[in-house]
Amino acid sequence: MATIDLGKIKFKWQGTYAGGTAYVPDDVVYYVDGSVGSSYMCVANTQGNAPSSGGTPHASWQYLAKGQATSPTTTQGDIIVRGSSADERLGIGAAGKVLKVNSSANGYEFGEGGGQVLLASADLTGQTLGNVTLNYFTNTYSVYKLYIHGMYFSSNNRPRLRFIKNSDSLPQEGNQYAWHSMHPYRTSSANNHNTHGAWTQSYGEMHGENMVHTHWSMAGEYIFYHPMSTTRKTQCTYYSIGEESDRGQHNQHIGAIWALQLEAYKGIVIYPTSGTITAISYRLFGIIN
Amino acid sequence: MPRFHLINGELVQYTSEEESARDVEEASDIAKEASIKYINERREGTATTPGYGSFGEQLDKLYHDINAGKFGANAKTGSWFVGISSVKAAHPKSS
Repeated sequence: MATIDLGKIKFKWQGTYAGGTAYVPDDVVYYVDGSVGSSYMCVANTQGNAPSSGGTPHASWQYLAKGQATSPTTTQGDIIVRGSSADERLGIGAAGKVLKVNSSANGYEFGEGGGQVLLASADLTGQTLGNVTLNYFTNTYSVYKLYIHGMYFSSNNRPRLRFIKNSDSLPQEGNQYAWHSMHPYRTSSANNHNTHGAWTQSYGEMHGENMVHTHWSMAGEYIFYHPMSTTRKTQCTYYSIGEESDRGQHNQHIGAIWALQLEAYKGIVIYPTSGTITAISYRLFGIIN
Repeated sequence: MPRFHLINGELVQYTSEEESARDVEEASDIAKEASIKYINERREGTATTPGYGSFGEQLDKLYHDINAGKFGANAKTGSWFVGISSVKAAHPKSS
């Protein structure tokens, strides 16, 4: 009587699937469907029928052990997103960019996230600055916001600005500015207000015509509109606060500065009426279009 | 002390020519700043001396001068004084 060695009963490993091979039930093969490598067990005689396609097994085959797709990532910072038919890598974006839905609304991309982009910043003390130049205007943004605080002067003073011409990188001088401001203020005795301004001047006043006491600092927010345009005049609106006489008068200015000619400006230069700027903190942002 | 430019975050010392030019610019500004100063001080006052005060304050002083007879009795019959008097009567000062 024949004997059967039960230890010999097992699947028949046939190696990697080959289209020209005839397979019978219990044959086991390895096959890569797309990017997923799996082992399959034959369940019916078959030849020329791949074990699976698009993740679906052929009727002659069943998964024995289903594999997982190989990671499509290749580089640090990659993320995996589903493409039209399979997972795909999306490489990391440039510094400061954010992940957002693309214009077709069928995938992701890195781009500007809205809001404002920090272009320049500084926190300086112990200085003897005759001026502060910020050449950061480009065609990338139409609107820029400059925040200044902790601005001290070597003597009772106030800041002015000039635009820097893009054509020759020199400050715009001549009577090419107009500026004005509303000026609410509080003295130790009363509230009051008035207006300041000038039409055609060689600079724009950044705090009306009120000095800032050397003991105290001033702060302000300045918004610049389309400075690089050659078809629109550059405009600036601002709010500023400063303490004039030592603990005797607080000034606020709500003002505007105009460039009077059509000129592309790449930046601004801020300078005191006299003396120097001894300290300043600033943040310059470009506003996302 | 020497002045410095701060250009895009980089400190650059003024040249002697730039120092001289800036000194000239500051000196030429002195007369203009003086005219701004006296106007501001008259309008706004200083820490120790009041300025003109608001229109309301100035007109209030004028009202009291008229009321005190400093402009003559006829001044009290003018439309401005009569109008202000009627407002004061309608909204009496709390005691």
